[in-house]
Amino acid sequence: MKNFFHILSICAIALFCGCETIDEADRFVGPVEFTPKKNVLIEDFTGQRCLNCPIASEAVKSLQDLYGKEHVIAVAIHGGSMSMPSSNGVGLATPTGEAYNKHWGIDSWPKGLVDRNAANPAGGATNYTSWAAQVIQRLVEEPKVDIAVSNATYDKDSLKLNIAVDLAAKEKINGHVQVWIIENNIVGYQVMPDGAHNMAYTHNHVFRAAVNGEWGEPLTLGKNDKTTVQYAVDLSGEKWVPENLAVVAFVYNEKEGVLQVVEQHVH
Amino acid sequence: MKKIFTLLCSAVFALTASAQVEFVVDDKVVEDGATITLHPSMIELAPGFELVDGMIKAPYIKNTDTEAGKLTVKVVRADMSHHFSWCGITTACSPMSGMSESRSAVVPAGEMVALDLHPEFEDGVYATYSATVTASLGGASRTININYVYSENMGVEGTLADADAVRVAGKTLNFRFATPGVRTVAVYSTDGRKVAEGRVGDAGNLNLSHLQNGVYLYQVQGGKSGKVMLK
Repeated sequence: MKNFFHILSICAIALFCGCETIDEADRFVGPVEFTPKKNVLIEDFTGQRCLNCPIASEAVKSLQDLYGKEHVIAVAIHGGSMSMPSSNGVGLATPTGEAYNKHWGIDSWPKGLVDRNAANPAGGATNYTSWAAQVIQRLVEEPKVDIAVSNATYDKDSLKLNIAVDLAAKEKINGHVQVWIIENNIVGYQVMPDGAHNMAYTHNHVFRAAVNGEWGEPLTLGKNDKTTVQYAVDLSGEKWVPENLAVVAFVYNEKEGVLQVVEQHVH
Repeated sequence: MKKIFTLLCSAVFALTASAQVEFVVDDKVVEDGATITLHPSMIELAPGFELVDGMIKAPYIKNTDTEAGKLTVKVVRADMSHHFSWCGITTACSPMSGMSESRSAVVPAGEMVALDLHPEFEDGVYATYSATVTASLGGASRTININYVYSENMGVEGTLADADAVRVAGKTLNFRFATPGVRTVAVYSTDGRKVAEGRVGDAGNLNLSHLQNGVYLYQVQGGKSGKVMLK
């Protein structure tokens, strides 16, 4: 027994002596700061009857607070089994949202895609607990294309939303350009994590419509090529609030995911 | 040898007996093999639009052990026509596609998780959806049967089965709150008029006998709101 304690003491001493002394300037003191190089798109598949979904919305907000809303662009896509159809008066689901849910095989909510799965190609849509790591991974990528929404104005006379998106390729681009309309500050029904029915929940960045087709338009640009795409969207039949609308434009391809994304508030 | 065998058996028994799991509804333990009945709440999303929404979190499943453990919950629905969405145990909400589904999560010692099994009733189609739920943790397991009832007389036996409960008996609202205090409860007609108001304690009643039969909305000051049908 005496020998045992002697050996134990020697081991303890050896263990402490094995520690390196790290200079104070080199010690880890907190999150590593960096400057985002590109913007990242989070497609948040959600539902008003999904009681865990507000938690995912909070996770998105945290990322936007941390890295800036201009760098982390979220779109809440309603249309899966836990969503509500617009026919019931308060539902936010759309046929296009339903198509997106089906295409990406969303079978539980909330789930999300970060940059169209670029950081997780084989994994499919993921739980919100995985989004932060994927977002950081994509923020430091060099964008291959610059995008600017040079026009997003609502004409109150014609009831049309006029959109212009400028694209400038930094490298050769083969993919699609997608333009969406989203709406913020929609006050309506949401079931909460504690099971409460919240009739006055504020839904933000809700997908409303794909302006240029469900999957966008083909885009091929050579290095340093530029182009502009323009649209006039008739809002006369919609119940959206123009002041709460925004345009989300992004370029993507199947191999590399979202190459760049921007959001512009409608004026 | 006999002593060693006895010691071994005692150790095994101690290990299995210490892993405990129980179902809890309204702060009461539900006996193994029992059947409980739960009712959905009706929500008026907009004038003329009502939704039967079984957003019932209970029963809760408690790890009564002294250590964290992996809880596995299996739900077996009584019939494929009994539609459920399941949001509990893990963070994912999804409709049940098969007759049964299992989910697992690590639960800290003494903590509870909500089953969060939601019957997907069709508005206006009265029915009872049933499921058998088995919770296993360590070597212990408990099974209960749950009947989710959606009926025209919803509210007569209604229980929200949360820590704060509301029950309708005839034209009396019975309240039971988990935390002490006196609360103001207001009742509104479906056109938004306040038709009754009262102050209730931890376990109190609100007499609504002066109101006509029909659907009303109650609002607990600073707390829950819900809909009840008076008959």
